[in-house]
Amino acid sequence: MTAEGTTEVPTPTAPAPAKVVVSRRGRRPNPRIAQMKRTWYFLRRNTLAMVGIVILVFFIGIAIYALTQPIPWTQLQQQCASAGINPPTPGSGCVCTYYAGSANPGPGCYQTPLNYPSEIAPTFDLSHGTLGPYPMGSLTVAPNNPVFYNIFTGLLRGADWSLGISVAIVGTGALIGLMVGAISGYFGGWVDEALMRIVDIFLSIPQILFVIIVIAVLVSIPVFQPFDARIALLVLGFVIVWWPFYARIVRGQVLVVREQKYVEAAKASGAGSGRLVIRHIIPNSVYPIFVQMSLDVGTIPLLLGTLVYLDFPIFSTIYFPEWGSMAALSVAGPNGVSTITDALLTCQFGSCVIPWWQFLFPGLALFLYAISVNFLADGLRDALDPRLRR
Amino acid sequence: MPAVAQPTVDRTNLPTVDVAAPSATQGGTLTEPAADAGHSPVVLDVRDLRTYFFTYDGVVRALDGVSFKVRRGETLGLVGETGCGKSVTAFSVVRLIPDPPGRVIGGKVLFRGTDLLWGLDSEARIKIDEKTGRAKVRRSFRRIKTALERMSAIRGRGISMIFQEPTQAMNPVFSVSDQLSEALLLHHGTSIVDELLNATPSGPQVRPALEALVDTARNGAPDTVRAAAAKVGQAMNSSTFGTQAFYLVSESDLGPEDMVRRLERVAHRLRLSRIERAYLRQRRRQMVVEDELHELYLSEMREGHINRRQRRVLRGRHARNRLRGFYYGIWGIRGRIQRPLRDETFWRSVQRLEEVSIANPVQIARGFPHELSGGMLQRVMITMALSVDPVILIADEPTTALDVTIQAQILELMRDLKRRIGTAILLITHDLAVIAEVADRVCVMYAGQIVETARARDLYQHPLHPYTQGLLSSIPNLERPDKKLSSIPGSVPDLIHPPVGCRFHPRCPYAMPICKEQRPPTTAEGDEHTVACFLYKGDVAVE
Amino acid sequence: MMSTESALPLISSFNLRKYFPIRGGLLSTRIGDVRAVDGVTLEVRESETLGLVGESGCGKTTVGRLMLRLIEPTSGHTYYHPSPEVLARLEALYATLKGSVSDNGHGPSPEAQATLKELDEIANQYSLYRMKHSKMKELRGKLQIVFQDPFSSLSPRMLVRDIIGEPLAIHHTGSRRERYQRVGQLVQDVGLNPEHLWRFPHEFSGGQRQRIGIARALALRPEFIVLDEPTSALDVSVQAQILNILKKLQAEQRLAYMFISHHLSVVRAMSHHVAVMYLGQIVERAGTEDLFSRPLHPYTQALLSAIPVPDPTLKRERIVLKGDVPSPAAPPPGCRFHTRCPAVMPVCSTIEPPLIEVRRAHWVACHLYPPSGAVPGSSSGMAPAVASEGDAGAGVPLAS
Repeated sequence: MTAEGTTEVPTPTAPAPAKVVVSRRGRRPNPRIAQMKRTWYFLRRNTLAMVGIVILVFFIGIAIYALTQPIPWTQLQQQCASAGINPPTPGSGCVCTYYAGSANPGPGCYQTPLNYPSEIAPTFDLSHGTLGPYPMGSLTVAPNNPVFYNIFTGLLRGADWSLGISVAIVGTGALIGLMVGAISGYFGGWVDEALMRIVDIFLSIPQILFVIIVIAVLVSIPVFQPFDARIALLVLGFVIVWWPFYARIVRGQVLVVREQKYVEAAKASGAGSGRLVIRHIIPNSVYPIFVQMSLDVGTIPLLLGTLVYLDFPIFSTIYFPEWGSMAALSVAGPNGVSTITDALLTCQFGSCVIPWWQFLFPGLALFLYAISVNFLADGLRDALDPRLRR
Repeated sequence: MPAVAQPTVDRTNLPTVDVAAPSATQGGTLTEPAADAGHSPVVLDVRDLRTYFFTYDGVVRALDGVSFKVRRGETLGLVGETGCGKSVTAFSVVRLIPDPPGRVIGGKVLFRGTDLLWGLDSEARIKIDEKTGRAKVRRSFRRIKTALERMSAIRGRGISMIFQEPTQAMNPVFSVSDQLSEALLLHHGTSIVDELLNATPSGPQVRPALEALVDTARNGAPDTVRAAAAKVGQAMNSSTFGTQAFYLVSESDLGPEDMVRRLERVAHRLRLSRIERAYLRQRRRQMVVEDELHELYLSEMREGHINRRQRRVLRGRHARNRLRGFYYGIWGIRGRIQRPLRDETFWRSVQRLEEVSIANPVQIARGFPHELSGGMLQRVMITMALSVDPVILIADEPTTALDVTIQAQILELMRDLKRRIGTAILLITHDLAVIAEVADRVCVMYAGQIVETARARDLYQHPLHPYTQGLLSSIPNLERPDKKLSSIPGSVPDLIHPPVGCRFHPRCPYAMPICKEQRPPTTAEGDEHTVACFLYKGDVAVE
Repeated sequence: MMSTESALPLISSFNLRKYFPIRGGLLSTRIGDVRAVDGVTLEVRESETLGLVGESGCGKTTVGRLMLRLIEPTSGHTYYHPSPEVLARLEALYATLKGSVSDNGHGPSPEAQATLKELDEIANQYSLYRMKHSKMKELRGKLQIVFQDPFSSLSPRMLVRDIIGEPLAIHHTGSRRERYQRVGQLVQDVGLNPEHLWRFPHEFSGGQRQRIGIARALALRPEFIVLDEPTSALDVSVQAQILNILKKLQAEQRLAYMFISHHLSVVRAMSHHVAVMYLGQIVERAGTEDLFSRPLHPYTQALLSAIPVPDPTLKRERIVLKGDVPSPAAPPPGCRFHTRCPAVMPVCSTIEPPLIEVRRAHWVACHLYPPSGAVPGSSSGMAPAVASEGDAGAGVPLAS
């Protein structure tokens, strides 16, 4: 084990090894890898964190799969009944439905609940050829609108939207917040005061309102017309609103780290501010934002859903099967009334069917996503915390 | 049933073991050992204590067979360097080791004859994985919970502790007197309440006593004023009023009639209304039930048998009592109802602060911990720890965080208290000089084992174990500055893979082949001087 | 330790003061000052150790940092490697300044003003605090510090190799390979294995971490190292090891140390000269043997007697001071020690005693040793103590 030197240390003129080996070839493994192994060991022992990891890996797998497969999400489907085609011809792109009580018009038709001809309940009926089963039912975009889509494929496709957008927002926001917080905390004085006042301004405005305002202001700029740019605008809107939270957290930690002796030691060796901030202060100040980041990753899709709920015209949400917006659609269609609300309002005793599958599955997906990230973040924080040295 | 109304420090009402009738059938029972001729009885007997920590890197054998005895009234010093396990020893005795990852594995801790570690084996099952060296521990949390509940009868009552950082040991949002009161009520609760209930603020001798006090205050020496104040207290059957009167009289300078009238007005606080009396009686009932519960725990430990039925009964009574006392806690009137008790405990805490020679005790008692310096706080901690009249006080590095002159004050205080009160003290420190000042006997620890035990004087003049010798020679001695600073080569061993045999052998200048193979037994080498080293071939001391 | 009559001081400070403002009230206005350091004059000679002793809150740590310009002083100057002429001139100027202090609140007298002006010019040229940052950065390598707490003075997320090599990296000395060579050599100098370079600080014991800290301080071949309580957090035997290493390094590399500590016995073992501080001022200063065999100031005497000795048979007359250390924000008037002094006299509560050379190379600030009894031929000390003479260049002239 570690053997400390004795008081009789050989003077430099004594035959020390001719050349001190400074490369690591053939030596003990990289200490950073050893640390990672140790972190993994602790994570493995934490059941909740493992659950979180499993779920997350699953979701990421779905997202990757969805990206590679040509799931035609734009190919929304319509009911053939209203399109006047009954039964459908193959390739027409519409779905044949019939009421539970009435007769099956032909092969390839889905049964729907009594009052809602356009709601397909979850069914595993595989006899529908290329249109496929509706294992999770269908989601109509509006009560009397014949357009709807398959929740299952929507979730698949929405996986990369949800994950991607939330990670992008949180990542960028955290990065900006980290830098601002580090500068503010390190320099102090009027820089700190000014930046913190800006942060306060941002924090005092309700988030959703702020996002709406930002996006509404920017959406008319020609740059943001194409669809992908719209997504970028959405991300940008959220990042602008979100970074102050991180800045404040980081600043608090920086104030502590700034007083540590090793920072002073680096100063005593002549380190300039830049080096201090980058090499010493920031690496030791990132811990607190991990928790916040994990919480936010779960919250962001919900906020997106809120935007959809408010019928925010950044783009037609019909074409955007992101989980949050799907969940929002199920309780508020583009015109403010959804099938569920409609069902609840017009429900008649004895013949009431609430299309529960419309909010359950997207909501379940969101819920699992949020808690899995939370568990993982908690587990990581416990595993990395040097004080809980188990 | 605990005795009623004991106004001063009285050690006889502590639960003791009935020496004549040990319960022979159950395991874990022991009688209090008879006092050796010429020595006071042993209050704490630690035998072969083992504590291991089960960590990611392996099993840390923090304590591996530690044995020592503390007698009534003596101060035992436990000395060792960082990492030798002395704090772990203290925490193991009161079972404050955080359960994952640590556990007391074995041994006996006999506190006045009762084994505090009874039932240890049934609490957990341990399997050590040979390959990685890690252990799997399966704990029965129910049993552990029961065991820790039992310990609450000992901790803070029979055994109390003070810690290293006084500035962090107290709750910053409560005043000093609040925290002292908490400790006082814990032990002296019933007697405090009784005294309050029996106070006579309007007895016939009150007024003359007050006038006498005011007279002496005008031109008397502080001692006479105090004596007069004490007489006032006696006249009222309330010692705390005596203290209060003393301070009132010392601070203000009203005319004599005004003073007497003022004192009488203040004495009003001892006139209790019916509801206040009812509240006090309620509190007293609660305290009695708590005492009974603690008695029960102690008897459990003594007899080696968990009496769940009785526990349930007492807990039920406790809960019902608290429910009945609910009305007295209603916001709004509770301040007034509880005021007499608060005032009483406030002045009691002032009395205690006087005992440790704190100037301005009234201001300090009203103040908060952050207003006090480290030395003052440590004094307050000492008095808090002593106010429960413990049998033994464990002091874990009490002066390490203090400056040299303040440390001198605290050590002076501890010597003084030793003389006056006679609590046994287990003093844990790494500073050999502090030990020399205060301790009667010393145990030297190294890497989780005790290597030498001796009387203080013997240890410093004739250290036997090579480690002790090395330690003593590496202290820069003010009196002999030219002595070269030698040091012990090497460093403290890793407790996960300790050296086989004697744990000190890699660093020992006298290492012999046998040292690498066997652990040396503890042998007696003179009057109360034991060593664990193969250099010495005395008789093996039975520990 | 015998004090060697070495020629020149390596680093010399005059009248250092550091006041920390206390902010309070609505607009965080300054309502007072914590007078951490209040008029400290020190010098450290080449290859020698000055021990700075005092209790917590007396300002000794601040003095160390001031002398390295880790913090900026409120007033006062430090000169590094002053030439003999400059030094003599400075001493003369300060001596005259002591006599011609200002009074009547009208500011310094004309003679004093001329002296102040000249001091200011010298300061502009040579003082550490007036140097440009680029020049200061060069000097940083020569003036280093080792901290008290081995746990927090090493960045927990850097490898030991990077910690020790950081000063070299900051100054871009040599190529990376050469830097690593030097790191390897430093590590051996302090008695650690080269293998230890690849670990993180938390894997080491306190003594080893302190060695890492020392290695880091040695990286740029310093001439002066401030040792801020380097062994206070360590055990006794480890302390002995570290002290031995420090002494060995001092002999080999001709290092000058300022050893800050509150352990008098350790200071005695390490230092050639000792200065005792109380509440921001130096109360006694002498060669080590002189101070310990004949302590003059009552505080020094109390300190010496308060130290517990590891010998239970030795019964000593212990002077236990009453009360606590007063707050540096509101120091007592006159002699700051008078509230706790066992030998207090009426004059002590009104007039501040100046630091006077009572015996050869033994300065005390105490009314028990009045100036008239000074040794003839010695200078009257370098630290005027009473009233304002603030160095006009370093800030606003201070009123006492």
